[in-house]
Amino acid sequence: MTPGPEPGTRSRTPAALFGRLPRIEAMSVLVATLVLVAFVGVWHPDFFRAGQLFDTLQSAVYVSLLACGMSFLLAMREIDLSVGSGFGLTVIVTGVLMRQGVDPWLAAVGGIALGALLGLVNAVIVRFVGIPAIVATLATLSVYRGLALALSGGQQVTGLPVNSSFFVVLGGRTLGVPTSVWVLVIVVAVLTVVLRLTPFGYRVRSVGSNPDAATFSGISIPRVRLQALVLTGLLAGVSGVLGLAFFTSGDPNIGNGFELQAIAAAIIGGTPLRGGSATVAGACIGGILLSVVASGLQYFDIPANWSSFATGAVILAAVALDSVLRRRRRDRDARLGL
Amino acid sequence: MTRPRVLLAAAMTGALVLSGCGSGSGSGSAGTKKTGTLHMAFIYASTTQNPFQEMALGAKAAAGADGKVTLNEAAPTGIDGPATVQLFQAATRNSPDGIALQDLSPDLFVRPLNQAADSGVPTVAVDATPPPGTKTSLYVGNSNTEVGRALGTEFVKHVPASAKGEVVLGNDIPGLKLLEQRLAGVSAVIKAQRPNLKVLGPYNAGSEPTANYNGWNAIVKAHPNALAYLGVGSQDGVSLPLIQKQTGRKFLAGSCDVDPAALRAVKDGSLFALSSPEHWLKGYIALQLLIDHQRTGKKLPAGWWNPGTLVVTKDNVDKIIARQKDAASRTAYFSPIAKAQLAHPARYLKPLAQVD
Repeated sequence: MTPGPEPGTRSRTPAALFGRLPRIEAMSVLVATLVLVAFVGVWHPDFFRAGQLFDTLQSAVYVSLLACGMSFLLAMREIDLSVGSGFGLTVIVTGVLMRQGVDPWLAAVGGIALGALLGLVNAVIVRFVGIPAIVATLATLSVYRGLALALSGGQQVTGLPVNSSFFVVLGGRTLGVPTSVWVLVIVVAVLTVVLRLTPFGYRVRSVGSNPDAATFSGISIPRVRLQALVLTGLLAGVSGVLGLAFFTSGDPNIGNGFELQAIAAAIIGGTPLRGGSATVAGACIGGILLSVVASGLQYFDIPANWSSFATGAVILAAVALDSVLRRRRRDRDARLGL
Repeated sequence: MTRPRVLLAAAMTGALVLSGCGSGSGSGSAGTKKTGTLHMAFIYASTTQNPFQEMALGAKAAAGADGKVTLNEAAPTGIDGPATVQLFQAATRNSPDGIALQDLSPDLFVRPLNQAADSGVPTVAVDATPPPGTKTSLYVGNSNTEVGRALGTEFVKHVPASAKGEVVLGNDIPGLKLLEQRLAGVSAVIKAQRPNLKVLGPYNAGSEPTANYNGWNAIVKAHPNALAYLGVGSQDGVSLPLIQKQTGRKFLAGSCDVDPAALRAVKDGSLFALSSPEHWLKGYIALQLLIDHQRTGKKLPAGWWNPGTLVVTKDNVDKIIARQKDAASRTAYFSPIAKAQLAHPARYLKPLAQVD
């Protein structure tokens, strides 16, 4: 008989590592996404082309970045409805700055800073007006969108220096992969560390898990909320800058509805509405899943008027698969007394 | 089978049934005659508004007339530039024989249009000019200034030359170039031919049905003594008659496009006219030019193809209502017109620089 691993140690055999795969963060939504990709690809092998897969990933970047920020807020039982408008305003302001002759990279830094500032404005309103974040950001959703329309005069912001390295590098590819996808990978890695290993991440989860207990243990909920809202705004800024780099122009209506997609992506990815926990990678993959549905359905010649219904049905199927995998994991953990 | 599995199986089956079985795609280089099935796409701005639906119907009719075109017609359910970009990008992979693109934010498509060109996928811009910096050189669309002028010309027929008062203009999507061109056309005619009238606006009326109704309702209340209210979007022709019906107040109103409710309003006198950009024709001609390009191996024409404008009044509204009854009646009406236009491209093609 082969002796098993000693108590308190983990086996590193391939079989044991494979057995632990389902326990990896966001594995179930990843499996659901891969099943969806495989399903489309089996019927239409063209979907497996690298170009199509990169297009799908690149399209997912904007919502996925917003979803990463949203996962922090959801973990605190908060929500930010202004992220789509923040994305749009960043696109417009960055574009206008470039059109005024500001160096594109400098304008991009300004755009990201603007995103953080918009998050700060949300936090200040919540703190000093004393209203829930969902109400404050419902108002700023309209304020930021209105600013985007006003600053652009309702027109698309065009005539940008599209040959500059900003557009070539950020809107193009690096090592054969869209640069924005690399940015997303880095952001997800950094934010996962922030959420899991830093005091800030611990405080975010503590506040969402039990706000009263968090307060009694000395955590300042307003300060943590402010930090989370600024982080979400910052990510909207990054997302907006990447969007401008790809689209090479700014539309004042761009990003309409992104807030709901970001919330959906975070929840599909495994961040529960009840708060207390979050998965940044899951939120990102949730955004990719939505993008796979949007691109994949194009291969099935679905009548346009049925496309919305079909999109919902496929998302439901993918989420059902994700839910089944989660439940199986929970049941197994319960059986093992974990 | 456990309950979750049953639910999952049911959900997946539903998705499968919806999705159906598509066909594989093929591609070929421009310049070769293709006789087999063509895989083409019509990507448009939104499934929910009448003008876009009309263009999609036209494209579908062209595909149907050929008989061997698999048409991928796709649009988001609301106006959403990035979502349309994603649909377009997917279409460049699965519809390699040609894509007609109709969108309200064409400048977002610079990179995707160039990627399509680099992949050898021919593209045609519909309803909005191709953005600068792209290789798309064919545009099928109206002179929107002409559409506006036609409405203005019809309006002045209903107002004595000495009339005084206010005329209120509304804009469904502020900043949208084609609507601003129409408004400029209307305004220019009124100012030139009825100089005693004061033109107010354009005010933001909103484009989605509820927003448009609420917008016009507020505009009408804010200008209760105006002589006329003129919109240039499709929803205006629905909202303005509805406001007359609900308030019992009669006023002079006109609009553009041929929404079924707006056509009924022309018939009952709530609207004096509709200026129709003949959206169906644009969709049909754009796709037919792509089909001809593949079938004959000839180069796609370059320039601006203007299929023209139609003014709908009480005199011809019955004919247009009959035309708009269903897909077959539209095809029956438009096919001879489209054939006549396609037989004489030089009459309809102008340089892109002349688009107004």
